[in-house]
Amino acid sequence: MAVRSTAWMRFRLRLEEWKESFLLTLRPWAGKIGWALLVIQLVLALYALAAYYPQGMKHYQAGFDWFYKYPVHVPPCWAVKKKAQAVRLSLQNVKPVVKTKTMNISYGNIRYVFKYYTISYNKSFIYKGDALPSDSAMLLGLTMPGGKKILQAKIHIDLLRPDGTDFVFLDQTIPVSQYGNKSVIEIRIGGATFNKTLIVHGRPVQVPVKMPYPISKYPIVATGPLSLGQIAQTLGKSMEKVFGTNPFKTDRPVPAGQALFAEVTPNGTVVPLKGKYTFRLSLMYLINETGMTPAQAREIESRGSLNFYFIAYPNCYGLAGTDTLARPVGLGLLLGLPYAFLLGFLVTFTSTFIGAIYGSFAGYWKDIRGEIMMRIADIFLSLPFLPILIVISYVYKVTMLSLSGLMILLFWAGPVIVVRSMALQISEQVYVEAAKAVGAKTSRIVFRHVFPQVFPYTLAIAVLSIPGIIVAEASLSLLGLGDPTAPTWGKLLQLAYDEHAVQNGWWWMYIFPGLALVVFSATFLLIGRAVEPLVAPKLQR
Amino acid sequence: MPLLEVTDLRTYYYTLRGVVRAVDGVSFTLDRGETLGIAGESGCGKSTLAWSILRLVPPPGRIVGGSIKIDGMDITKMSEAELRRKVRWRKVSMIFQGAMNAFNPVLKVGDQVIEPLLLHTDMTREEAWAKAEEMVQHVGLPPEILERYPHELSGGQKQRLVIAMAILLEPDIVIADEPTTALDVVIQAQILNLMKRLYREKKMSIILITHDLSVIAELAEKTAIMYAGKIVEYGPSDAVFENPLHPYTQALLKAVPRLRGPKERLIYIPGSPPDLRNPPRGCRFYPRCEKRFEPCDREEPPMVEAEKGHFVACWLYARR
Amino acid sequence: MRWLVIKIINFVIVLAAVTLIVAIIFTGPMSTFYKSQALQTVQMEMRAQSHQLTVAQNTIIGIAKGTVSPQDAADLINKLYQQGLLTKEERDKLLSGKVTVDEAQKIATALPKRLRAILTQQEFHAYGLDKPWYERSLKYFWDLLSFKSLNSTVLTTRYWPTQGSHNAIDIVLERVPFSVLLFTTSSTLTVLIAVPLALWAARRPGSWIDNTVVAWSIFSVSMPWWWLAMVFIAFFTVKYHIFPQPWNVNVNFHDIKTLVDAAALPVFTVTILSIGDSAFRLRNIFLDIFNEDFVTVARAKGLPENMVLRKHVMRAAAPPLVTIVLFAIVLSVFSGAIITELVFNWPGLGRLYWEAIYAGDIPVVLELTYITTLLYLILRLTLDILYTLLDPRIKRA
Repeated sequence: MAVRSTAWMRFRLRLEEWKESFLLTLRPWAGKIGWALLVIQLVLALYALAAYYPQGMKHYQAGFDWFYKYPVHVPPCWAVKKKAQAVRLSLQNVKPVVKTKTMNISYGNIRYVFKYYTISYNKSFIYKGDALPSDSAMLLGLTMPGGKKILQAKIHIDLLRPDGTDFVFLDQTIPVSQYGNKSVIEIRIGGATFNKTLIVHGRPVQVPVKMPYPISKYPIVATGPLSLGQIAQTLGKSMEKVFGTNPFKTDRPVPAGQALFAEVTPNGTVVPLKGKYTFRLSLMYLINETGMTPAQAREIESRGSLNFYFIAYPNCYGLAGTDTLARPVGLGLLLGLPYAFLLGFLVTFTSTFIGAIYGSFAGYWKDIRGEIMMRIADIFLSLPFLPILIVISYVYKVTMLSLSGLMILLFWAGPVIVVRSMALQISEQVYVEAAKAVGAKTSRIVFRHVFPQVFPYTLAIAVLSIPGIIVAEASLSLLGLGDPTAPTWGKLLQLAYDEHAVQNGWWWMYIFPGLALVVFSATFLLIGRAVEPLVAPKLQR
Repeated sequence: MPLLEVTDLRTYYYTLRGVVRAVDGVSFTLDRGETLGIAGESGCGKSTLAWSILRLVPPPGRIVGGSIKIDGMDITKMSEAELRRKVRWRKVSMIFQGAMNAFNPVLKVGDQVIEPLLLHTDMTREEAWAKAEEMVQHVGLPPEILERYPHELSGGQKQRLVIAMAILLEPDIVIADEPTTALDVVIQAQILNLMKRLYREKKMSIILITHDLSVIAELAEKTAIMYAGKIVEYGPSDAVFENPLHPYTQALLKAVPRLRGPKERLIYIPGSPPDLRNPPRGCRFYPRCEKRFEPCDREEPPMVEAEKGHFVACWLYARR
Repeated sequence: MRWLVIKIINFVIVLAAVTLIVAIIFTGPMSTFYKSQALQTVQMEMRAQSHQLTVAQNTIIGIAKGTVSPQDAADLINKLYQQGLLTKEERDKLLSGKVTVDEAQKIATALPKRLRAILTQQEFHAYGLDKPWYERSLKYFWDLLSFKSLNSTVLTTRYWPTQGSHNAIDIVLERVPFSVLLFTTSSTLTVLIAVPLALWAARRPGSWIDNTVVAWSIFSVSMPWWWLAMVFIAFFTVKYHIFPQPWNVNVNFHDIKTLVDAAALPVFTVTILSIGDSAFRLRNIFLDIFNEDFVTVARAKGLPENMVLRKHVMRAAAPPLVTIVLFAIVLSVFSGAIITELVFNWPGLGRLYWEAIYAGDIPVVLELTYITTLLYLILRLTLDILYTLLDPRIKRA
């Protein structure tokens, strides 16, 4: 024969075959749905990688600043009938009103000049929400002149509500620094985050507070000139006047962050109070201007300012809600996708590859070598998979890659028995005998004749084991093991478990990650079921 | 009155992709002590016909029309219990295609052979066993074989056992569905001889279903040729083989090699059997027929008696 | 019976190999654990010997100062020398009395350090910590195989054999009945439900019941069982108070009513999930068997349908049925189902994993891994033997 088929032609033929078998798998409904789901998920995974790798992923798992953007554990919006209105206020375009009152006091022949300097801001907004906000937060940036000339300083913040009641946040003198005094105070009203200690993974963690928000150019200091306790006390007192209970002291039928917008109807239900709300903020200080030139006085006076930011969080977020770390669950689902693919594909393909090669040799060698190989594979098959995985990832720190490696180590023997029985038959075929007769090397025979026949089948079967791998990773995560930096679905479920989402009724925290797992796994089961009958005939005797 | 009278039998399979008309209007009769061979390509509905006679068509198949009368009793109208008690294995027994799998692999063959005896007679287990041993010896096997498991037996042994089991109750009709297909030639010959002997001794009617024309020529007195769910030619074996009338029979016989006689070129039939979900209008063989002419593609040919007792369904012989 | 012997030998080999792997994995952490134990012992020894040490120090300084005569102190000095706390030169010097105060001071201050070093070495030797890692691995391997008792660091037993025991093996064994109870109950239920269900589905392939079985098998395999457990808890105990809330229940064998109440939901969940996979596999087996010729033959013989099912179908399905149902359960127990216990607050082996890991209790984790492995292998062996007994086609030679 003069014509020798080139590698390219062989490849073309192969490609044609593959195309045909692919089209065949599209016939049953399982195949259609499976492939469609796979394509959608692959696109989403690629998008997640392009948009969030690596910084976004790390940030999702380790960032503590989600509170500034998102509400804490709110349900998805489609599940909420009555929606609250999100409110974000700042004083950026508000003109302050300045009032001064000068007192001239003569004592002997010395004339003292004291000046009450009051700078006040009013900011109104209309609350139209049908429900109470999930929580409220207030950031207060306070800039004050300091030094001996300032005798007294006072701050007053209150919220005038549509019904005429008044919630006073602060109304008190503040200590005057000897130097220029600048500070920002965050006041988060109500909820678990009133103080700055978060409960993360069951252990208290001190939050490194940074300002991702354009609220203020100043860093937040945890203890400013005003203590948070004072705010709670003042606000609590004025709320007690309205509701009859102090939300900070009782078991809080309505959290304080919601109480700002609440009204108690005569029959005892709590409803949102709609209408015009006005924040009134004023900063007043008494300056000893004795002996100052007007220019000096103006310079000191103008140093004071207030920077203020108020957030009323909505009572729902997006399609999947947010978790207890205020992270959007939907984003977590997206970010978990590439990890699921990485783990599933890497482990399955590699272990199948290894298992198919191993099994091919074990089937080809019918002597003691094959027997020993099967014994070794038997030992790996008898390993209790999850306990070993738990133990290793407990003893040693694992990353996503080393975890995959570990799973490959535990999984590679999976296809060996089937592959071996196939290889036994193949190696009795005439062309294998012929190859032997012309003196082909063992490795050549195995890789040219045996392996290419067994690999596609084992791969199709191995696709069915992807769910097991993903579920195992999730189980590891639930136990608090696994790669701590990777935002996998298992991690989301672990958070839900640790934060008692079930007890608290935060269903979106565990339903969605679980559903993501189900859909991902079902994709491969459907594809596997569609592919199985195509490749199976080759196995039949 | 003939022993078995099948009239216009229709057995369809209701699959998701359409109705498969596996047996579509088959009629024939069988007299006591007669051997009928039914031949045809695989997939032409031969096995379905056999199952229909026992009313054992596997789902989603169903007998939708026609009648099967055994000794005058129409089994298509019988209740399941009556059928079980009166017909199955008593009147009609069957030698199945692929005797390899006719035995349950986890039970001893003896237990399976005596099952009909325990069921249809008042024998105790010991008596049944003794009878089975006798029958096993009759088909040329040692009686100890009953103690074995199926996987310990060879294909020929199993086939003999299946035959023993089929004649155990001395039924009127034995349907043999491809009794020799899975066996090698030497064993085939033994089995055929055995069947000949039994047929002679026991005076049973046999319906022999096979794609192997030589087996029919060897055993059958009458022959029916099936094509695509219909009987196309039916008559005494000699007449059918010596003087085939239907073009399909002619083609089929040309495709069989002969040992004696002048050397001929083997001719295969072009094309493939029609899709039984959607058979061609008119004569079903028409797309592959060499002698097709004007009416073939429009109207179904009626069954006509071309010679005495030799029927054929072809427009070549039908008077219009 | 040769086949049985071969199977048992095989079992022993696999057990040894798996135990060895576990021992090797744990060599590092166990060494750290033993090291801390050894250092604790050393600390206690040092405290116990502190008085004698002070006496020795005073004597040595006394010799230098001349307040103690070397002859009187000879016994003590010799003893210290024998203990390895003094070098030969130092002993000679002290015995001859020609020692300066500075030198004596130096020797006296060095004594506690030397004692600590000697004790540490002794203790490390006692725990085998001075050996190379592979020898340590082999030692731990042998300790595991011979069930040598090991003290836990944090966890204690709850009730059995006594409350508050620190024996790691006891801690693990105490949990075994709970896991066994949960999973044997649910596997029994699984078999009772899955077999008729599978038969039903296999009799009518393509019907709604069949489609349900197929679809549910896909779902039950693709979700973590403990996730469905969470969903069920939220639905059945939080939203509707049908079952007791797991976190409010303290399960033990003294209070049977509470035990049964608390077991209801876990058993329900595990059963529903294991039915998915088992019923699907069984359906496939039954489908295959229904297509087998011998079933048609049996029908042709005139056997009534229920007899065909009982005698032929069920008997032929028995070997794969046993392995598939039980092996599916065995596998699921050791690959995720056991975690369900954690969610259900069920004090079995799965929950103990979580407790031991969170407490950082290495001995308990070690024993737990070993004992679950052992149980797993024993179950596998049992299944293997059962299969061989049921199926005559398997060669028992």
